[in-house]
Amino acid sequence: MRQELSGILGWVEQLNEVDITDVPPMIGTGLATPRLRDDVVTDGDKRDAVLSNAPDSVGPYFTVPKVVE
Amino acid sequence: MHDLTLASARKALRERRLSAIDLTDHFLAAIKKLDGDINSYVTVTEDQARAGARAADALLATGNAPSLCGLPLGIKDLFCTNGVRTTASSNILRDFVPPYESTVTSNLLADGAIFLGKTNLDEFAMGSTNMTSAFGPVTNPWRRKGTDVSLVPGGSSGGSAAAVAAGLALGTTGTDTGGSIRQPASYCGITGIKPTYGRCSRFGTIAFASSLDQAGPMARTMEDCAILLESMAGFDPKDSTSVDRPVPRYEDALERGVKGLKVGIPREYRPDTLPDDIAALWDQGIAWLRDAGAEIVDVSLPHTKYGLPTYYIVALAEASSNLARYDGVRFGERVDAASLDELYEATRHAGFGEEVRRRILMGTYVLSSGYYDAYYLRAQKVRTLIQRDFLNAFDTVDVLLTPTAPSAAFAHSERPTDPVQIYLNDIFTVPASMAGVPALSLPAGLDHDGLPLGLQLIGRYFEEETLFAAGRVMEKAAGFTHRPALHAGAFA
Amino acid sequence: MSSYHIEGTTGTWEIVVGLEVHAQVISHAKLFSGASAEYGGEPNTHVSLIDAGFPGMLPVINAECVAQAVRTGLGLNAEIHLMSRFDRKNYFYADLPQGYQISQFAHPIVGEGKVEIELADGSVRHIGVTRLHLEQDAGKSIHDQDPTRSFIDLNRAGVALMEIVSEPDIRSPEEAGAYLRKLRQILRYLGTCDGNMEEGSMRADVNVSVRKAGEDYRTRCEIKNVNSIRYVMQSIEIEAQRQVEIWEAGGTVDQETRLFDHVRGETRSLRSKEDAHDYRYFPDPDLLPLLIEQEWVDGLKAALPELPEAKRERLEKTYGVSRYESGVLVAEQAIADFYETVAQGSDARLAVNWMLGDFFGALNRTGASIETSPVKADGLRELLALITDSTINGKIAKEVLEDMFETGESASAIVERKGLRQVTDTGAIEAEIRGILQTHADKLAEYKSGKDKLFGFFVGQTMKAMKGKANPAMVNELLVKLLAE
Repeated sequence: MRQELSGILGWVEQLNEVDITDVPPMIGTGLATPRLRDDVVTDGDKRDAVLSNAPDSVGPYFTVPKVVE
Repeated sequence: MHDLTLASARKALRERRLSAIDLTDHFLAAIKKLDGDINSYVTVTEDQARAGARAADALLATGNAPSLCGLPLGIKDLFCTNGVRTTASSNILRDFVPPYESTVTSNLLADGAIFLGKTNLDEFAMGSTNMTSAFGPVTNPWRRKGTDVSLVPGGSSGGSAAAVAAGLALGTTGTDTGGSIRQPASYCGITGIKPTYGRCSRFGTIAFASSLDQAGPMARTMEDCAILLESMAGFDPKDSTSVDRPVPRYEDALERGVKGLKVGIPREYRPDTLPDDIAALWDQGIAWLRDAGAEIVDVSLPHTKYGLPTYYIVALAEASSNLARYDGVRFGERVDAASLDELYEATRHAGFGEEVRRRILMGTYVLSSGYYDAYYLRAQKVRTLIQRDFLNAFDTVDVLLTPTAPSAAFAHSERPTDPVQIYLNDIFTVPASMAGVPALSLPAGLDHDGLPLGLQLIGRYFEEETLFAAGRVMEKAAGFTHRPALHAGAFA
Repeated sequence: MSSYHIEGTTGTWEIVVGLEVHAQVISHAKLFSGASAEYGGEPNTHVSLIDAGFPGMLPVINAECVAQAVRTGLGLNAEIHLMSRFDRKNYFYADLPQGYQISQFAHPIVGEGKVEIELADGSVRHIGVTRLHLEQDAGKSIHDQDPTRSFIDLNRAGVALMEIVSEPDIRSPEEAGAYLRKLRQILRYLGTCDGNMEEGSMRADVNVSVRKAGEDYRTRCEIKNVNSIRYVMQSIEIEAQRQVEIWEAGGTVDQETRLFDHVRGETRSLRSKEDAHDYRYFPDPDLLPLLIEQEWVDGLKAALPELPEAKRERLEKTYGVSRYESGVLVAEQAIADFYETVAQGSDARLAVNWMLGDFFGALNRTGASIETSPVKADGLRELLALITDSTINGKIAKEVLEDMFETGESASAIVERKGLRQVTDTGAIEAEIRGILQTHADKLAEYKSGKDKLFGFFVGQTMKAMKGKANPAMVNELLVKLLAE
């Protein structure tokens, strides 16, 4: 895979020949208007759904191998 | 029944010449008969489809049925469907059952559509051959004249394209990140449209590359796509990138014609390596539009050649982050391990296929400290230049006409081993994705092997209606009535 | 300049400290989902599928969290950025469901500001604020429930945090403490964060380095997640000492992340710079840039509550309280409000004396706070009114206040029930004094022979006989008259 990756990286190097002076990065189509959500609780209280696909859960919790800090 | 389009089936249902249950049973039987060979469905939801069809018949009897009432569709297995397994064709989501419905499929359900099942795709929509699916490759229903070699359907919406082509659904949903609707539509001889970025909600659709992913319909005709897109599209406050604009009645635009329309022919889409069949078909398409009253204009999109490398940097960077959530903790497959880091590693190694891992690795690399400016930031700036190319072109023309893909479908065994060669399949579809402008592919003819070839129309932001009108003119001129070797009708 | 220094064997060291404070935003819902942001709750109940990072789930910004960040920025005299942006900070951790934290890395919503602090010696310093940005909190890992597994609760995951980053302007543990207290005070006044460090709604990462006078900055260490002001101050002292010892032994301090262990009184390495995460920040493609309008910011500014410094000056001007007293009164908005309610219609001086004296004493004794006090501002004002109109005297008032704290009854009810009304009847007081002078004829004789000090004795005897209820001024006046007879 390493060889393939360097092949891909070599291929994308062609972008270096593009003059990007004073060009801003693209941010979307520029047509969506920013929207904010009202500060209202409309979600949550769905523990069964939240845990429904957990590969391993104990009571109300997800689990992971013990983390030692 | 196998020759029905979505529009003709809708008419037959409304006129009670056909029942929704018979229609659904027809498709379920066709799937049973053919899909063992094609593998276009990952999951078939037979019971739900029948229950839905019976309910639809009851509604149709009242004469008050919604727009898609009783019409059987296939849903790309990237759209989360409440209570129905949604896999993204990945082992990591092999048994994932979402407790929620994507906005696009909610819209279709609200309009009365019947879901036959979930269609196969390249794993996490990453590919253009449908060979990266954890549920096996999809076989293109088409064959080269006189051979029985199995061909790829294109990708990533390969299952959706093959299902429509083989008559295993009236229409399907697809998603398009760099050509994933248009390229398989071209390979399978059907119609597909990627609408403007922000036209269909991304909520509940499994993400590949957030700034590019866009859902759209795949069906046999322009009219069918117009009907489906009207249902799928719409503003969704749950998706911050969704655009708040009314959805037009796309059907009404179909017969507008192209008189006076300016059609741009971008010269950069005609490389020396373009196969003669495709070049000739493109010229044919130009002639159709000119004959129908359009004005043909040569245009230049100078940054076209940078589209692909730009696309891969942006898409893979976003994908590497979007796929971080598959860690074996809250959902999906898990490989147990003694430590948290080992759990992540083992789970993700076992859960993701090679192409997905390659792309995550690449995406991680281009975002890493010290490389961000050189790769991701530069690519997003080049993306602005690609967007400007389109905006400049649309100052003088109304639509652009190009080939959809640089080749017809090829055999699974002919798939190049070099990833860059595979990526080149998307060369004509990627620029429109980068700019977020709408684009469709329609079947325009067959190559010398008898395989379908598509042409692409690209339009201004939110001018899907113009695409449908121009597409309809070409559709009529092409008179594409060919059927693939594997087709429900062939067994009827 | 600060007088805090560490005297080493090679000379005098000064410390350089910058703080990154994580303050939980007061809001109903989370930063990007509609789940409750309320503290507590059964595990995994304040969780939406967005917070749990389910496939296809998308964030939408909560307007109130943005408003709270802007209010805080205004309260810190900081510049408000009308364009800010959310980036993804990518790393894997058990309590980070999406595999990235959404945070404002490159374009924070609030830029440079400053906080004025006052030190014990009365000197004033300004600590620069570099920036304030919004970000998501992570979930919680529980390590002590199972021998082989840690448990994950996502109730906190996605709650809005403000990260407030200071300049490395802090030069002593005392300044760090003063900065944190002042910051907390401002946040609480603004109502943007409750400042409750026990519940984790405010916590600090502490950046510490040491240097000799006139030097450039030396390598710093970051002490992660310190959750009390006292620990911040202790950890700075201990970490600075550790660094001085390393430099003086000829070593070099490595840039690293450390943890403060308050039990052992030490900091220890968590991870070195080499092990530091590469967060691979990039703009979150699920969100558009956050654009706000100057007009909206102006509206928020106009509606801001009076902040501590302004309130302090006004209290001094309006009520004539001292600089020290105003400082105590504005420590909490509730205290200042309480005072103003008492002072309105009372003697303002009497009010401040009583509040900072007997009333605070009673709060301390009973373990009540200004919010939970059984005696409300109206009640204290009534008590003071009884003093002012001579219904009771000051000494009796102390007794009444204690009774108010115990029973919750009003001052006038207690005065009536216990018959504590001050005696102002001249005849009654005169009769009492005459009796006392008779009983203590010997003392009277001594007084008359020049022992003036015995005047106090006669006052005491009179008050005692009248159970403290006599009007002290009248007792004085009558005694002078009768002793002269």
